[in-house]
Amino acid sequence: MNRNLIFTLILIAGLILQVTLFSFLTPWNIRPDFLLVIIVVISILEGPRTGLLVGFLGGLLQDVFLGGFISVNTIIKVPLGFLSGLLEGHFYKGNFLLPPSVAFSASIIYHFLTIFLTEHLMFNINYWTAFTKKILPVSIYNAVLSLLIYYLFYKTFYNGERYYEK
Amino acid sequence: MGSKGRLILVLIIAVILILVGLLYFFNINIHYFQYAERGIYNLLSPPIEYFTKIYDSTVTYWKGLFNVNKVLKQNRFLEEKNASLRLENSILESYKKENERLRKLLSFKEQIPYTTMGAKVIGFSPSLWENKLIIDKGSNDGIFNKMPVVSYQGSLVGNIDYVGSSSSQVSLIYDPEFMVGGIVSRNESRAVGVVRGQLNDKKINIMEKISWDADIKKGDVIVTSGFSNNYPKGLPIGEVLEINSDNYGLSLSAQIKLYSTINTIEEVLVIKDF
Repeated sequence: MNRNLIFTLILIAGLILQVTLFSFLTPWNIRPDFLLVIIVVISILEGPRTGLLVGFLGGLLQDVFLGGFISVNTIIKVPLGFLSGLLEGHFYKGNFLLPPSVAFSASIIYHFLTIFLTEHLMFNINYWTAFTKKILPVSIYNAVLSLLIYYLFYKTFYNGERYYEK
Repeated sequence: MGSKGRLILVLIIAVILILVGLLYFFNINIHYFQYAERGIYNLLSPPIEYFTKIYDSTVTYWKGLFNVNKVLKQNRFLEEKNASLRLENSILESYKKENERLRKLLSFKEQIPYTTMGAKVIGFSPSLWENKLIIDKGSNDGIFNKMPVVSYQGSLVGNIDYVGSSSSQVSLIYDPEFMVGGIVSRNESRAVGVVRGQLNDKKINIMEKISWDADIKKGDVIVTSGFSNNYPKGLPIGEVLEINSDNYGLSLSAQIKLYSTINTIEEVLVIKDF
């Protein structure tokens, strides 16, 4: 099967899991951004072109579910997927420190950009509380989740091979 | 990929992103996009519903398996309670009839009960910054935008924000974009204000624009005022926690502890008519 089709199906499954399972299982009231994690992991493994595509699709799916066709999530997730994809080829694929650190930084960038692009958030929230109570815990959760997802993808799509290039 | 190819790719992305950004910032709605949006949404909601059903039944099964004794004990307790409630209900029924008769005698306007519809929560919004629930009733069940949503205890949960064919989304009461007129539910005080969400974890809303000399104190119950056409009068919202002076002393604002604990909510009632 075409790999891009598989990634599309994975993203759809990711959205379903995000609005259901990851919304019910919330340790300390934290809901992870599962789609962002999937986008980052696929981008790291597959490179910027696929990163762009999954960023666009993931963002679009999320926006459709928030009642707007193309909105903040698409705008932010496209460059995030592309930038994470640029790392492909520069790191050893068996390096399991890379996905958590990229997912962590991507989450922090994503949440701050969301705040700056949403009018009612930009002027109404307390930035320090938002950072310590929401953004930081979610980013840590995403980082932990990315390690698990990266391991799964690495084993499935690369058979755990240890090489640099695709 | 060559460096030239990469440059072209980056340029294309930049142009697309700028176009998309312009669409978003100027709030331009393209009709075909809305069809696509609804199509994708309606395609994705049934799997979500099924997934939630499977998840729920698994959790219930495991809980039942490990707590048989507790369940049996609870069952007995509930049966007893049911019997006493049935008795109470029959007494209340007679009061109701008496009340109706007396109302007619006094030619009072008859209080019409709301038409409600129960709905199951099947998911939450996929974003940290948007507080929404997804419920399993949609336009096929006669749900429309802006209908108020309450919990089974009767307190206000939010309103319908987006309607799909078999599911819809509920904007929650503590979302910063949510606003509802509130009134103090005490006979000697009818102070009014606007209750607004604040996006915090403690589930505290703020009630603003209360007149500076209003009779409002800690512990007062705030209910919907019913001044707008969107909400019926008298739905409980929360309790006053703290009162502060606002707007350089020209008005008061109050912190409202909400009744609805939305994280644990599983079922809601949509008020279809009031």
